[in-house]
Amino acid sequence: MNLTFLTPMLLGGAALVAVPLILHLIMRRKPVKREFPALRFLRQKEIANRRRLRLNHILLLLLRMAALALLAFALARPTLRGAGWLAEGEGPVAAVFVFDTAPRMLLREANRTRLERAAAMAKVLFAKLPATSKVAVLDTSGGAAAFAGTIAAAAARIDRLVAAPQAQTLPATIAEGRRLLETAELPRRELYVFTDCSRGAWQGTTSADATADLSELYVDVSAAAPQNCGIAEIDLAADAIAAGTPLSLQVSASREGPDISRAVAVELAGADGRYARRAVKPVAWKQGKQTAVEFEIAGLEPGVRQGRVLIDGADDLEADDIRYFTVEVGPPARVLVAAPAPADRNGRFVAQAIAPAALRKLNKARFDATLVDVERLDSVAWDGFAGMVLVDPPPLSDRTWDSLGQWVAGGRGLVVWLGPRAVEPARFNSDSGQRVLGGRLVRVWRSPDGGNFLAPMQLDHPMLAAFRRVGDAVPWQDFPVERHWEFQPSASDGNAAEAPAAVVATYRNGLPAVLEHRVGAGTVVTITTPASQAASDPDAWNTLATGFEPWPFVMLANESLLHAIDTADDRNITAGRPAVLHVDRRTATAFVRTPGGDDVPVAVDQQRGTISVTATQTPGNYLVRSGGELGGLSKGFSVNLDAAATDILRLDDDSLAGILGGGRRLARSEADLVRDVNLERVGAELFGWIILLAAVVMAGDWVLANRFYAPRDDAIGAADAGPQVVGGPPPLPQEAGA
Amino acid sequence: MVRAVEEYLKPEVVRQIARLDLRAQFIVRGFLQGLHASPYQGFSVEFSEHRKYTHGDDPKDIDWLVYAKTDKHYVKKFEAETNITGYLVIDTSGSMAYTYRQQLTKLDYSISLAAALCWLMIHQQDPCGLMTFDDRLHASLPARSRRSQIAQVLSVLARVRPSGRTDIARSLVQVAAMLRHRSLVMVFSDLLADPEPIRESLLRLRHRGHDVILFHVLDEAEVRFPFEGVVEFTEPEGQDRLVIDADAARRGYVSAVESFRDEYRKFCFHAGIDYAPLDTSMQFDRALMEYLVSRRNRF
Repeated sequence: MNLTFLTPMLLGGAALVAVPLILHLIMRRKPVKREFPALRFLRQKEIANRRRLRLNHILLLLLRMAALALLAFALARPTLRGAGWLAEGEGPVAAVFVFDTAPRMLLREANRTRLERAAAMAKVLFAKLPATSKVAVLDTSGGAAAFAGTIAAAAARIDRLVAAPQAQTLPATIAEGRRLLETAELPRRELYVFTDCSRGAWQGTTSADATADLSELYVDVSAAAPQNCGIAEIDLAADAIAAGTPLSLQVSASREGPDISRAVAVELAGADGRYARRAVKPVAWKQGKQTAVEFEIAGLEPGVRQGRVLIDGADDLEADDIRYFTVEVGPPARVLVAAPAPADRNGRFVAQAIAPAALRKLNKARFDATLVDVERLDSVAWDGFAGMVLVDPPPLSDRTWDSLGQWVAGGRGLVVWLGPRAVEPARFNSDSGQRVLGGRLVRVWRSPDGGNFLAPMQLDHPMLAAFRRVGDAVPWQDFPVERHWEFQPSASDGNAAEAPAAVVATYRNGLPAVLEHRVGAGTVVTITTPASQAASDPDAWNTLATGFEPWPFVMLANESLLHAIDTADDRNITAGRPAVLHVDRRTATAFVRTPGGDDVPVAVDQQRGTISVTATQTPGNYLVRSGGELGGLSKGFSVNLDAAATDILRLDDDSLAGILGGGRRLARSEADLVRDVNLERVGAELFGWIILLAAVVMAGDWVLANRFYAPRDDAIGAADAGPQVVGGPPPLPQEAGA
Repeated sequence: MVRAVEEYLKPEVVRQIARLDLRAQFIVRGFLQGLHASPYQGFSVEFSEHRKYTHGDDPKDIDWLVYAKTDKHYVKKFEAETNITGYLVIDTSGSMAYTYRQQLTKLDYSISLAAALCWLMIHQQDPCGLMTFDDRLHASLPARSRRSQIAQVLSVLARVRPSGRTDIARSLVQVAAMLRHRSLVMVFSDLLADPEPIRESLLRLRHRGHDVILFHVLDEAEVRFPFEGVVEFTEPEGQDRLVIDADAARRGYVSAVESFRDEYRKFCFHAGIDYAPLDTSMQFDRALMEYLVSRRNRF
């Protein structure tokens, strides 16, 4: 906060403090004169009394000087304000208006959406903008951050604001606004943020960064009493299911407003694109509560199946009343698991992890695993398999490596769990082998004290995406790795096509644990410790698969294979993210049918055999077709809004204060807005307060001066006639004595 | 201004004295008896009345002649006939003219008190004399027990003009030199002077066998210090000046006066002098009464 003066010239009046000083010195009031015989008793404490007298004189003088100084100070009209020390009251400002344009801003109240209310509030501010101000309008849908040419142009931009899936979060947009303001040359810089103060808007934000010389005002446009039923998200048990198994999906339903009863329905799209209702469930919506509604849809025919979950009836926010889903019904991916003989023993951990017997019986397993002795690998036809897992492979022949390389390059996946049978690095590290693995084995590392284990530092690799949901809770330390191969990726020769293996995760000792190597259109994942040794094996290298509740190993086995096979199409994505689908390389062009019914051509990445759809702003079901109705490509994906984009639950004041910072100003009404802007631009006038202070000082002066110079001589009951003459005669008697 | 003699015998004063005489006769007489009892036991006593003997009476007072006649015990009551001479010694210095309320000066108060005592003594047939002083002894009336003595004493007092500096010690020494016989010396003064010489002079009076009563008369303002704000004080007997904040000085002043009176009280106790601290706000009849009662209780 800064202190400024509206009429600084009047501060010169403070020089008048010299007046009481001069008056005090030259016109000191004379004390009352009194005759008093018992002066001898006063002499005894004369020095202390004189000191006190002088102190009182000085106090009185200071009070009078302070009274005058305060009067001059008050007349100069001091104001307190947050910024603009150098600016004049109506000087131009650099203002950035940040709008949250997430779909939840479409929440209606009083027949006006939050976005419309924000625009109306912004108009109030625009009306108060001094001429020649520089204004920028930013929103969360992205777009260039720049000052508009004129205030009118910025106002027009506000009129054009529409709700859309977020390209960036609100805090990120605010940060961009701050950066933009830092480039402004005007001394006064103002940032206005229009937000519904919802949990969705500020999700994951701990505290906004503060900028010292920046005036920030948050405008709360939240609804006072919203009434909304919403589907936060739908959770599909699997987006690729085996034919004949029912589709399980769970709907998270939340309610804002009074309790209500409404039905939730699941509809599936037919061949003609029309939706047919397959299931309806009545739901009792409770205020502030999240309810899980489970559906099981049976009888899905093979192929791509799309559907939607919707709430019957209307409410204040329509954007979260409907969610879309896509599932692919078909056989599980076939995977060859090659393990040293006996394969059924050495490969059982991996085989059970990727295709558990219990799920296979139910036809719900992701993979269809076939175990084979690694010695007999060459005798098996690989073409029918989408991927292969080599469990503790011995040194392979160049021919085998070459065959594997060609097979993988055709778009397949290979996962290699290195183990003790790769006993001779020299033999293992054949040129062909290095071409497939993207590196070579160096030596076996030992950590017998149990201090080494898998310790992925960052989980941003797609292969580790599943671990992100668990975060730091993965108990890797419970599965010590006593031995592992040191794997050295090949030196890069600059050829992008033959890039060396990249480290995905490391051990605690910093050496690579999981590596990824692209070979042609396929992927090879190498894990430098085995998963084939029994718990009873005294020479076991690790307890990954044999420790207590080895779910990290199960996840790693599945995710590494899924990543290597890379057949997982993006079937259910959030709006704004690109959808990547695998297609036949022979396909030249595919067409995407948007929810609006438009057919948009999309080019096929011939090298990777994929198409990437980036225009996914609109929620709905997208169909990808190529090669005609019969025998051609038929895929699809669903786009849904992010849960945060429709999370309208308003943050409580404490949380909001924590996020915005204690000193941030939050305007809730237009009156607040006008007052805050005036406070910031013109400042809070302190005139009244200082005049009050001056009055108090003057009163103090009056009391002290009266006490000082005008003694009340009726202290013992008699009125005093003023200074008296001592020695006068006693009063006359009223009557003669008897 | 010439004051009437009667001024000091205002109806209310006389009424008070009369009341004292009638209603508290026992006390007054006891007081006078007490005064005389010790040095002059057995002289000039006059029979007053008989009273039935009650337990606690001195058996030596039983009138055996009456017993012989009536076969009952009666004790003789005697009315003392004083031969003590009283002298009223009054300070008439400038400071005694001070009054805060513009009503009764210290001198007025002292004179009223002295007149009452004079009236009492003459009424008891005691000779009573008068001396006034400031820095030396002035008017002097020899002690007489005639009724007209009251008028003479009051007429002298009515003419007193308080003025000049005070020298209590010197004046008391002169008093001591003038008194030939053992007397009751009643001193009325504010004692606003160096206390040491005063004490010596008082001791000199005592050594000569005089009974001394010291009436220390101060103005109520001198006791309570009711002033406020900044005041420039001037001493009436000299031209000494002092500017002080009265509020700040009050506590110190009052304690100084208290200790001043305490010192006199202690001195008088040891010297066998009666000390009566008074101020002009006290009703003098009540003050006198209290003093007489306390004095009687001591004997």
